[in-house]
Amino acid sequence: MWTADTVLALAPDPGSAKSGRELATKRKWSSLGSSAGPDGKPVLWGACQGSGKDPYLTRVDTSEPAFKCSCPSRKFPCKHSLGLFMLFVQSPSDFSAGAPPDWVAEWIESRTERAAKRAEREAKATEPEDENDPANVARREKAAKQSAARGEERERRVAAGVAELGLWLRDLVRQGLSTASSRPASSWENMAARLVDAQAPGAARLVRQMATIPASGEGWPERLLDRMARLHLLLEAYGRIDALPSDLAADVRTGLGWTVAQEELVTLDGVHDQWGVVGRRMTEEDRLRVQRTWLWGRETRRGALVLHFAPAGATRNEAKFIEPTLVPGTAFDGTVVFFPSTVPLRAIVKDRGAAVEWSSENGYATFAEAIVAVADADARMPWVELHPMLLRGAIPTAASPWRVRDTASHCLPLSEHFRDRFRLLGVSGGESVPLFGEWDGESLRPLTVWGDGGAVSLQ
Amino acid sequence: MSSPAADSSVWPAVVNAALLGTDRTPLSLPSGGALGAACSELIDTSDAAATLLRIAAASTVYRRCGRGPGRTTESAPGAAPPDTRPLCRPPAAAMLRRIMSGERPQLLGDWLVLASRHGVRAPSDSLRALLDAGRDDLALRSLIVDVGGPRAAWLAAFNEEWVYATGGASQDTLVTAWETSTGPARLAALRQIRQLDAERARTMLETSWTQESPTDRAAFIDTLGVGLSAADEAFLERALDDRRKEVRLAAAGLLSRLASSALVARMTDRAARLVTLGRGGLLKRARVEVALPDTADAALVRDGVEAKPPANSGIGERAWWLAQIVAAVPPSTWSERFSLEPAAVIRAADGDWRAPLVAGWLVATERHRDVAWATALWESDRAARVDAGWNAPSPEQVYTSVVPPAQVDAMLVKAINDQRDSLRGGHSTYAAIVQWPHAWSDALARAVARRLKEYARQPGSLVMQIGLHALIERCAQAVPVSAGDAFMDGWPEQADAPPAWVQHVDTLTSVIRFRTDLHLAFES
Repeated sequence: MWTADTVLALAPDPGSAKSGRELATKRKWSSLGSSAGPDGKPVLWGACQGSGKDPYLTRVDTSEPAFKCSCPSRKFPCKHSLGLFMLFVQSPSDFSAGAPPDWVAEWIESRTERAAKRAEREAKATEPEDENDPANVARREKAAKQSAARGEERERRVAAGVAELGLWLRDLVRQGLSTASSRPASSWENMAARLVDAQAPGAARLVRQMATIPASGEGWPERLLDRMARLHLLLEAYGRIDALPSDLAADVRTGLGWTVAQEELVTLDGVHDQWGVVGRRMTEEDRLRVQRTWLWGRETRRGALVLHFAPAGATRNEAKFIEPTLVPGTAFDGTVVFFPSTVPLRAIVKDRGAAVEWSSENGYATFAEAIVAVADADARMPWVELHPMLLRGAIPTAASPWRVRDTASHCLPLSEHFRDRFRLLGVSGGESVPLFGEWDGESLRPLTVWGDGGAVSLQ
Repeated sequence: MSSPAADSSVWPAVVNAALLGTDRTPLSLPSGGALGAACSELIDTSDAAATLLRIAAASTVYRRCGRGPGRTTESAPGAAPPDTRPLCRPPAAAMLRRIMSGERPQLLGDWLVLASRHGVRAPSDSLRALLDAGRDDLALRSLIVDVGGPRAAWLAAFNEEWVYATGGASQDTLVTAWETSTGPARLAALRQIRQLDAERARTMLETSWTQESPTDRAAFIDTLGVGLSAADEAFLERALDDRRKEVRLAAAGLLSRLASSALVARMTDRAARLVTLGRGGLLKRARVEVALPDTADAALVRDGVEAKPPANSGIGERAWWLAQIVAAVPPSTWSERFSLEPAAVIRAADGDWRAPLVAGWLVATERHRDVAWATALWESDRAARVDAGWNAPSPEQVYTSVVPPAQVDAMLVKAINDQRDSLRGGHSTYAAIVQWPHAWSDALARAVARRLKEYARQPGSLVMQIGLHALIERCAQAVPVSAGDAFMDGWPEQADAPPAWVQHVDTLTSVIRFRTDLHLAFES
């Protein structure tokens, strides 16, 4: 069911949302109409007088939804489409029901045709092949061979990249980290670029992250050596990957930059629980916008990180979430499948069932319990970058150093990247409040706090 | 045997060796600990660097895993006092988020008024942004303090930018700010104390007066405009002898607003000698007769009369002095002395010296908030207008600022209904309505809507577009939600209306719709 808010969420940027709202008035439109589309959901149309001589012809199919407009705007959906849709949501009685005019009927028809073709293609793809057909057997064998060859080629390249990186790290230690602060940024960047060429983007990312540490102020040698040592451990682990347990081997491969196909994951059983959405934020990495959404299992008492990716395009609203329906504070009964790991955190949502209530009684009872859980994970798998921490009760401090504390007088420092300190303080009112954040081993970056009005997302 | 002290010294030793470089300094592990023993198994004598990195990996993981939460001995900040009012409903909270996210920032005041009227409190996650808004906009402060309640006052105590919201308990904080801060912060503190306790603020100012710099004195004395009373007179009278001209003028301006002040009495004496009523001519018509002052002596200048007229105004010195004298005299003096209605006094001034008299009356009426004179000046229209050089407010400014809002509203309704061109740019009714800051009555809004639609239907006229923008902006703010429907429909089809109209009407309807939604969001 569409509402004004869900329609506006489709807007490509705030300007379009505003223009869309302004066009959602009967006065702007002529020949408003609607009829049931192929799947029973309404198809809308209307003519909107713009600055040009002819009115713009706007069509909206509310099923997907889909839009078409004769205006020259390159935004999608355009303000006319949004306005028409909004108007329908607000006052459907302004639309006269009836047979669509030709310019609408043609559009519906072309969409129906395309959908049929797509369905046909999909049916073919899932159709079981004739196992014994010699042509199919030959094709499968050829494909398997090609894929194996590609895999071996990548292993060779990664092994070469790993060897080079190992040498580079050891050189750094031989000459002394004190020389690291005088190295030009390009020396890190060149190493990272060679790792990308070696198809080890994960290792490249870790090198790039290290590049800023020598300029990060007091304590930088410790922070840099910590990163270098764990990266070196990753490289050595890769050298004997065949001897590692399969989950740990998967962690090593993930760390270096191999990805796991999500299609394979979906076929696994997964973990059923009531999953609460406890935090989300947007980051940008390698020209990709990444949405990090954290779930927390009520019974399993564990966090799950769901990632969504979108290209960092120029016209998209950068603050907008890629998967807007996973809203902090909501929860659902469902199944998630974790990527193989010794400390499984990254996951995909396999099955999202009914919405359920989320209680603030979930999460760690004390900070000590949270830190023990982190230590346990670190001991098993030393490459976890950010640990989920759902705290049942945290009291923010009111001045620098900014921290949260629990009733046992334990405290955790807050990340310097965390900006909403006074907002958090206002929500807490000086009382203990449920809080979720990402723990990087040194400091906590709060993402969600639960106050009197429910969950509040923080930045 | 394991020794925690030896274990915890492994990592610093490794960091130190790594900093210097294994080419120069070989790593030497502290002996005696379990970690050291485990690390010694990682040694590869052929490769010192690889050995160091391996031991570093082991000891950093050891260190990470052994770390507990920090301990604090400080006491927690203390909980905010409870707020017994209910939280605003979710739709209202959603509207607040839309307003604060920049969609309609100018409607924050509307939201706060509604929240205050419904006795609900703002969501706690909005307090930070509300306190920031109040920091930047003085007009919103009292509403923000009200709607934010005790939690906002509690929060404000942690950020000195929000000191305005810390509540009565912190008048002492303000006094401290006055005594210890510098520059704008002192001025802000004084201004707030004056609002809370006029007497205290003046006493504070008197105490430090002689030590303040001339620039500060000029800035500080203006704060007495709030809560001005006869108790301030003695201090202001002394300030008339200040070395700094701005201070003298400000003091004289304030004293001119105190009908009982000695300065007003002195000015009234002077004026009575200069301005008289005579009956002359065949019809024995009443005429205000004027003798211009001869000199601007020291006493006159001390009472705040500026000797030089504004440059390039074409105003003569003596006329300029007269205007300033009349401006300090309560206007009721003239109607009583001449036994004439204010309107008759204005008519009788229709001679050579009309401009200085009217300019003085306009200022005096605003200073002394005389409703009868404000009405008369407004109704006299052209007879009560003077050139900008006189630095006098316009009759509509005087009228709308002095006369109670309900009366202004009724007058505007009548003027709009009676006169076809009342809302054209340049008309006095138009001038009054665009600068009148109060919300409109239902009747006024409907009258405006009727006229505007009428104008929109007259094709081709450029005249009607002059000032339209300002009027539409005012409509968007001032139209009550009850009359919103009058603005939503009934405009000419857009193909028939000039493009400027289409755009203005679109903006207007979308703001009014937003405000309607805002009101609905508070209804239960």
